[in-house]
Amino acid sequence: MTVQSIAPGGAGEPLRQGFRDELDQLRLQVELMGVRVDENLERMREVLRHGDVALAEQALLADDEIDAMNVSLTERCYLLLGREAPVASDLRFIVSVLRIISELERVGDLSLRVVKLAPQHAVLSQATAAWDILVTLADEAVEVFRLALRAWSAQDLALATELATENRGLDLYYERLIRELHELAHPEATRIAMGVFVAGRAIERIADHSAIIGARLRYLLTGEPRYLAAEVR
Amino acid sequence: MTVVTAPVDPAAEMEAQLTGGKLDLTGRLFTLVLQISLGLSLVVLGILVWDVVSTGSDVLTGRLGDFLTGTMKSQADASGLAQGIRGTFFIGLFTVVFAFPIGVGAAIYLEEYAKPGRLTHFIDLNIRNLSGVPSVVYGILGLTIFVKALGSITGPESNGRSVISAGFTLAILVLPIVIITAAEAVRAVPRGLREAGFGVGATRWEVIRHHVLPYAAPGILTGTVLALARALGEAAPLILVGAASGFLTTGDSYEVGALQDRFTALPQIIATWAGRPVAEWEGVTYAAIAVLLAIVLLANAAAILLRNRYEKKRA
Amino acid sequence: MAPSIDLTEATRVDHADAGAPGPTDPTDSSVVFDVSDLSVYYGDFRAVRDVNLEVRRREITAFIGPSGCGKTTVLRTFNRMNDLIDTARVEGAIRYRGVDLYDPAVNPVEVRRRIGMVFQKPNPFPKSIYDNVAYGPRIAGVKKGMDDVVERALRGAGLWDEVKSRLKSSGLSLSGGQQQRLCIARAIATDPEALLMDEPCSALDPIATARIEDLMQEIKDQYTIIIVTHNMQQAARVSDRTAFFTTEVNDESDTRTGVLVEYDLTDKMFSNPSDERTENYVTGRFG
Repeated sequence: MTVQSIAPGGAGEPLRQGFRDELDQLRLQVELMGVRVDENLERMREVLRHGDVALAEQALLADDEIDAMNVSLTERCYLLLGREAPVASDLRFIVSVLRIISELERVGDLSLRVVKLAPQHAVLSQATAAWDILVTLADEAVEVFRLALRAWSAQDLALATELATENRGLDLYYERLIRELHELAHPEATRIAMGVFVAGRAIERIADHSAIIGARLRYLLTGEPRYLAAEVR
Repeated sequence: MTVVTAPVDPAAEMEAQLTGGKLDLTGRLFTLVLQISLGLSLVVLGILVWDVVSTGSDVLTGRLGDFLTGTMKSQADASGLAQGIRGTFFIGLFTVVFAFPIGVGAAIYLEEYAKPGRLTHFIDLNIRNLSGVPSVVYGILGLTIFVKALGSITGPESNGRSVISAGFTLAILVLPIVIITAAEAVRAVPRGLREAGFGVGATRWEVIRHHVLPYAAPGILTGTVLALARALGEAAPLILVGAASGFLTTGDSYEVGALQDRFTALPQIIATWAGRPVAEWEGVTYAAIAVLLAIVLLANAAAILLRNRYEKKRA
Repeated sequence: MAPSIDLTEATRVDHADAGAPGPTDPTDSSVVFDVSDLSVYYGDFRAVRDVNLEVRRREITAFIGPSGCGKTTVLRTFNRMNDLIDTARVEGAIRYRGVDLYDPAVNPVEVRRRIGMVFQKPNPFPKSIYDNVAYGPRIAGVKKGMDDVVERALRGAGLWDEVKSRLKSSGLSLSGGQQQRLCIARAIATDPEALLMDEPCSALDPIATARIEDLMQEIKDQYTIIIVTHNMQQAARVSDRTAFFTTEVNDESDTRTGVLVEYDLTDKMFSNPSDERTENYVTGRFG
């Protein structure tokens, strides 16, 4: 006797198609927001290399757009929660979206902190050793962020797990940067150290938040309570 | 060539659409036909009643007391209905006392206890058929069983031709009607009511007694009304069972012992008097019909009153 | 003739500690109903198959699932209401405190006194409010103190204040929501241990529904409740455990048989169910 499961919808047709489409849209919109943030991260890398003040201006404008997207996506999530009364994976998805766009917005803000140092590029880059480490740090952090974007776009559990658990070499770079700053010998050492430190800190936080995105994605995909505390291990 | 259309006012157009539409000619015609049918029926009924009452009016208005208390005589203007009323009374009594409990009991059994199957269906079918059997056949049944076979019990001195025989015969005649209408009334009790009763821990009998029967009471009583009217009005079985058509020295006492004596009943009297070609009997015949009608109406009214009381309780 | 089983021994109705503050063990979850390999047939047609679950004391258990999945059929086996359908037949066992409810020696009337039922469409008797509530106890033999019994039941159903001044008026004169609460009062008047509720709110407006849901939470301490519901949010709000049923199509006979898919804590069922079919049902997707 062959047995087939009867779908609640009856003839095997998908239900709540409007809601499904909304969720898909939401996923894409988060992706888009991530792309915008990524563009600003790219600007950040350029600014670190060349100190282009015009790029800094562009970054500021782009950040406004990112903030606006944060607001509109948040609103949309609230609407869906109230209207559709989602449960199980749908609920996890919407709540994860809310938390992830918050992380994306933080990453955007953090990149601005670095970008705002553009006018001081000439001075800060004189501490070549520290500056090189900073640039490498930035590249690493952007790679982590792009991993997070890929993980989200593919809704991939393996990538999410990698993000959430892997010990990045980034921490080592960061420690080296701090050591370099300690040993800095330069007439404007204080000013340079403060600037580089702020940038380094911001970049390290960018990697952190990207890892948190991975952790939240992991909870979304598995639904297991132990992944709920989105701590980066 | 260009076509110019006048500007259309949407509101006016909507109004035209809504108020237009085909005139429902066939519908109206049908309603008219129904009204005429009803009218005709009422007219016929009216004529009947008027005819009866007017022709018998002399007797009814002139000597109503004597008429109702007098016995059958050879003179029309001296004859009375007392014996007939008594016979009809007992027949009604037998119907209520025997046909009603047995009929309702059978209906309850069929609807509540019997397992639905071929046998139950067969019984149900047969009961329905029995309700359509001509009353003459029941008369013969009564003659065979109650008059002839059980004559020593039903009427030792009257050769079995007593009101007991007639009572039983007519009770059996109306039994199928009682069963069918009672069964229908019981079937119409909503399932939710039964489930509520069972759900609270009532036995099957408790559910029937406390919930089903009270709810079905109006329907059952309607069935009784129908049965009673039928029993009081049937003439053929009476003739066969031997209701007296001529002189009767007895049959006017309401004592139990007198139940075994010769008897008569109103339908029989009416049939007999109507058969007499002499003109003088016309008045009393119609008066007797009027009296029978009145009795049937009274019985109906009583049953309807009871039914209304139960219906009010139900709501 | 086999001796009838005395269900009074089997019933451990501890109303003394019901709802009272004090030494009530919050982890007391003794099993009230134990269903094993239960299948219900109507004639040759198997309506639901192989149900295995346990209903625990003082919990609200919800049965959810699409139409025709057998959840109402299963519910009705808990108080022998399926007996009313001639062709109904049960295989497997359903034990109430250790006693097999379908043992030939068990009296269904006694079962129904201890396991009350509230139906989908409110069905008060066409009697007065007082008589509606008093009927069950009356036929169970209660003679004295009926006024107290009625008041307690009506209070328990949250209806007392609304009807205390008109106990003699007809039960049918109440609004839909009140009628359903009257039916709840009627059911709890016989002091049952368990209450079976078959979509009790589906015929009611949202406010009446909310009242009854609140009521369920209040009386949960005293009665073990099993509720069949089409409303998933209701199941999620109200119940401690949820059983999800679905239908399977039998290709040969082209009929559908109900089957229990998953039975777990409600929180788990609605946040992260184990079976994909459950997830599809609760999120309103399809298989």
